[in-house]
Amino acid sequence: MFDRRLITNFNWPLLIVVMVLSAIGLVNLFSATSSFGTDAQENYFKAQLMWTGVGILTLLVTTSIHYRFFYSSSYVLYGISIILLILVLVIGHRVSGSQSWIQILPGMRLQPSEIAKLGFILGFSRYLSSLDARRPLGFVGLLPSMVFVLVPFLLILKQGDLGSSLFFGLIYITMILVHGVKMRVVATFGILGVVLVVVAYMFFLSPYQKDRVKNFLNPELDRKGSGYHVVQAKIAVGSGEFWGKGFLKGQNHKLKFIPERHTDFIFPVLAEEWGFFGSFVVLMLFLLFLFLGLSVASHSPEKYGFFVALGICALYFWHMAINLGGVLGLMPLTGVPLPFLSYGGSNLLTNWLGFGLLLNISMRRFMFS
Amino acid sequence: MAMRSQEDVVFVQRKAPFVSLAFFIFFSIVVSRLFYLQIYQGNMFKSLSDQVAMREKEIRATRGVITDRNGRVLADNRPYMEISIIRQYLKNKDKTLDSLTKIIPLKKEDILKKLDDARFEAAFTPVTIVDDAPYDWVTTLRQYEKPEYDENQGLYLEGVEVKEWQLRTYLFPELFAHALGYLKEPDKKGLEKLEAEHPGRYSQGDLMGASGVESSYDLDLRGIDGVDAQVVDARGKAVTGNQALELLEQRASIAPQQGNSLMTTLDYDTMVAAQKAVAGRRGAVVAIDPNTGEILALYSSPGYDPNRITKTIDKEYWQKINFDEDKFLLNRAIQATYPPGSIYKMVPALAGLDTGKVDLTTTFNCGGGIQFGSRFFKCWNHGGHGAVALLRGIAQSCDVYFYKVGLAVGVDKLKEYAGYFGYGHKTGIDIPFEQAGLIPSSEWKEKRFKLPWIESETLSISIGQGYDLVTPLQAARMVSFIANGGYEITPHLAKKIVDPNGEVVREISGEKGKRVIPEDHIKPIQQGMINVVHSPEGTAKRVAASPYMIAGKTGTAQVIGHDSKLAMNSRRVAHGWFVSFAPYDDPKIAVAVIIENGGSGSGAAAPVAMEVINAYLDKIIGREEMEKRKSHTGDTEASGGVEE
Repeated sequence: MFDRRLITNFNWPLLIVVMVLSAIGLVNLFSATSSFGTDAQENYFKAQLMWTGVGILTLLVTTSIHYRFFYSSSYVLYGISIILLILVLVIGHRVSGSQSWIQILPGMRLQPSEIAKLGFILGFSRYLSSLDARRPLGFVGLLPSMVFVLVPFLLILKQGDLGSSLFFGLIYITMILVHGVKMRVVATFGILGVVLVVVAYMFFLSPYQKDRVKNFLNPELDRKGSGYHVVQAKIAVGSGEFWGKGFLKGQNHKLKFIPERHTDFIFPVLAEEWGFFGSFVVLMLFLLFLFLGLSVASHSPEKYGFFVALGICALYFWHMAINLGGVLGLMPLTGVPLPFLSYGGSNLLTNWLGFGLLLNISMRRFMFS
Repeated sequence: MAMRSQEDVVFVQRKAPFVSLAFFIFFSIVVSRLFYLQIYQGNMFKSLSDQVAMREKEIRATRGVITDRNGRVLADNRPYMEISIIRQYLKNKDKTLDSLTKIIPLKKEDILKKLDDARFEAAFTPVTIVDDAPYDWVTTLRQYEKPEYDENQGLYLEGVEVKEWQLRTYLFPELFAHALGYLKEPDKKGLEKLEAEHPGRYSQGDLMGASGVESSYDLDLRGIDGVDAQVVDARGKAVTGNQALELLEQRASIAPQQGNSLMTTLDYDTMVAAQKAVAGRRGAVVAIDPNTGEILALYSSPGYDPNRITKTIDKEYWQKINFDEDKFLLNRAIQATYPPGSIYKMVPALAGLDTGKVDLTTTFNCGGGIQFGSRFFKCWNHGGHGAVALLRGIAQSCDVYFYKVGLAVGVDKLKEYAGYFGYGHKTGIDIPFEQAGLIPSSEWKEKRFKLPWIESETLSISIGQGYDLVTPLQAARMVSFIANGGYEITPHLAKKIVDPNGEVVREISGEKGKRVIPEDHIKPIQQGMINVVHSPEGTAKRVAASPYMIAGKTGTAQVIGHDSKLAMNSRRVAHGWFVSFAPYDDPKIAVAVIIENGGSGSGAAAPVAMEVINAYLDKIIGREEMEKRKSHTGDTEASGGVEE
C-alpha cells in the first residue's frame, strides 16, 4: 500500500543536485567527443544518453523497492556480486590486459567489479550493523570483517584490474574506521600493510599489474604516458582562466592534446571550456552531494542505513578524489572515472544505483522512528 | 529487523561530521589547486595554449635486416619518401595546393580527391599525396618548406609534410620470396587485435610481415616507432626557449628503436643452385641439414617480386601473381600437397619390417602387375621385375612388391607408420600457412565419405597414390629422419636473432629430438636408397655422377586423369619427385625436389637435387676432400650397396 510519507519525506535537494550534475556531464561529454571524428558521438555520447536512461529506470526501481528488502537480502546481494566476479573470470572479455567484462546484450557489456562495489557495501553494512559500535574492534574482532573485503579484492585482482580492487580496500577502511578500531590495531595494520604490499608486488602481481604500480609510483617511467598527460592536462585546465573558453571552444582537447578526454580526463575538458567558475560550480555540486549523502546517513534511524549511506558516500568520494587529484597533478595518476561526468556504462549505472539507495534510505527514514 | 539500542546509532552518527570535514578539506585543496592553475597561472597557460600547437611526426623504426646463414644480406631497407598533407594545418587549401602543383608535377584534382577520401579520418592524420616520391621532388619541396610562405616565389606550403623513412627492400626478390615473405599494412580489424595483444607495437600505416619469416618473426624484426614532437606557433614555426614547452616536447618525443636482425638458416649459394636447376619450371626444392633441422634451401618456383607488393602494390602485377594459373603466391614447398608417388614406399617398407610381415629375405614375384578383384594393378615396369626382396624393391621401385607389403600391413597400420615419418602432420616450420597433407585411414574415409574402406585402395596408397598427399617440406623431413638414423628434427628457418648492437637475443636450437624409427629398420631403408643411385639397376643411376655419395628415392606421382599416351606437354603429365641425402656415410644435407608435370622423378627431379647437393657440399666439404674420402671408402660402400 502506498504511503504518503514517501512523498513528503522525499529528498528533493539530492535529486536536483544529481540531475544537474548529470546534465552538465552530458553537455561536457558532447563537447569532449566532438573532436574525435564522426563516429565518436555515435559511440560515446549516444551510448551515455542511453545509459543515463537506463540509470534513471534503475533509480525508479531502486527507490520503489522496500528498504527492508535490502536489509534482509544484503548477504544474498553480496553473494551474487561474488558470483558475478567469479563468472567474469570464466566467461569474461579481455580488454587491454584485464578480464573485467561480461557481454550481456550485443553491444552492451557490463563490468561486474563496478556493480560489486554496491554488493560489498550492502553486505558489509549489515555485518557492521550487527556489531556493538561502542566497542572499538581489536585484532580478533577485525578478522571476520576482513574476509568481506578480501574475497572481492582478490577476485578483481585476479581479473588484472588493480585500480578497481583498491577501491574495495578504500571503502572498507573508511567504513571500518568510522565504526571504530583500536588505535594499536590501526598502527599495526599501517605497518603490516606496507610489508604486505611489497610482498604482493614481488610475488603475486602480473607484469601488467606491476607496470601499473610502477607508473603509479613514478609517472616519469612512462614517458609518453602519465607524466606527459599531466602536463597537457595542466595547460588545458590553466588556460581556462576564470570564465573558460566557452562550450565546444576548448582548443587543447580538440587538438587531441588530452588523452582519454572522454573518460579519465573529462575534468580538464570542463575546466578548459568553463574555467574556474564552471569547475568551482561542479566541485561545489559534488561536495553538496556528499554532504547530502552524509546527512542521509546521519538521519538514518538505525545503523544499517547509516553504514550503507556512508559506504556509498565513500565510494563517490574516492572516485572523485583519485580522479581529480590525478588530473590536477596532486597525486599519481590512475585511470578512474569521475562520477556522473566520465563516459562509461557500468560506472554510470553504479552511480545511479548508489544514488537510488541513498534516496531510498532517505525517504523511508520515518519507518523506524 | 534486529536493531541495536538508540544510543548505538547516535554513537556512530556522531562520527559523521568528521567524515564531512575530511571531504571538505579535500575539496578545499582541489579548489586551491584550480585557483592556482586557472587564476594565478592562468594567463601563462592561456598564452601557451593560444599560441602553440604540438606537431607530432611519427618516426618509423627501421626494420632489422634478414641474412642467410653466412651473413649475406637478403632483405635490407632503402630510403622511402612520402609527401603528405595534414588537414589540421591546411589553413588555406587553395593557396597550398596551387603552390604544390606549381613545383611538382601533380594535378590539383587528384590531390583534392585524396583529401576528400580521407574526410572521415581525424584532421591530424597525414593524408598521403605521393608514395615513394622521386628524390628531386622532395629536394624541391624541402627548398621551399621553411619558411612555409616564400614571398618572392609566391609559394605557400603550410600543411604539406615530407616524411622520410626506410622501406624494406629485397635484394634477391624472386629467389627468396617464399622463404622471407613480404610486408603489408594490417587491415583495421587485424590492427585492433594486434594493438590489444602487443600494446604500443602496431599502429595504422605500419607495415607488418604478411608471410614467410617476415611474418613469423615480425615482432623481432620491427623496431619501436618513435615520435618527433615539436611545439609550433600559429604559423607553424618551432617555438623555442620556453622550459614548460621544452618539457612537453621532450615528453612527447621518443627516439625510434631499430628492429633486431634475423639470421636465417638458408644458404644463398644452395638457393641459387636450386633456382638454376629448376630452371623456370613449376616446383619446389627443400634442403635440410638432417642433424639440426636447419633449412638450407626452401625454394618455390615460380617466385614473385615482393618489392612490388610491399607498401605500394603494383596492381597489374598483383593480379598476375594472384590469379595466374601458375599461382605465383603459392609457396609450393609448404602449402602445395602432392601425391608422393614412390618416395612414399619407405612407409610400407618400415611398416612391413616393424610389424614382422616381411624381412630382408622375403621375396615377392613381380610379373608386371597383380590382379586384385576385377582390376589389374600395373607395375611401372610392364615386363616385371621377377623375384623382388626389400632392397631391390626400393632400388627398382617395384610397385608389385609394395602392393603386397601394403596389403599385408593394412591401411591403418600404414597410416601409423606414415606418422612416424611425419606424414599427415604439420612439421611445425616457423613460417605460417603450412599444410598438413593427408594420409588416409579407414576411419577417415568413413567420416569423409560415409563409405567403408575398400581393400583395393590400400594398393594405391601403398605406392603413394590415391588419397595420399604430402608437401615437399614433409618429404624433406622424412628423408632427414632416414638420413640421421631415425631421429626427429623440426625444420626451421631462423638461426638467431641479433639486436642492433650485435648482441644475440635468441638462438634457435637445432637439436635432434627423440628417435622415431628403430635403428635396425633404418639401416635397410638407407641401404635401399643407396642402391637407388649406386646399383646398376637403380632408378636414379645418373645421380651417381655427383662427386658426393648420394642416396635417394625417385617418385613419379600420377596426376589425376593422367594418361601418359596423351598430351605430354599438358598439365596431365606426372609430377617428378626425388628425395635424397648425402654423403650417405655422413649425411650433411637432405633434399626433396618436386617438379610439377616434369614427368619421371629420375629425369626431372633427381638432377635438381644433385645440383643442390653439389652446391652445398662444395662449400662445406669440397670436391678434393671428397675424392680423398671416396678413394678410401667408396668402393666398399658401393659394392655393399649392390648386395641383396
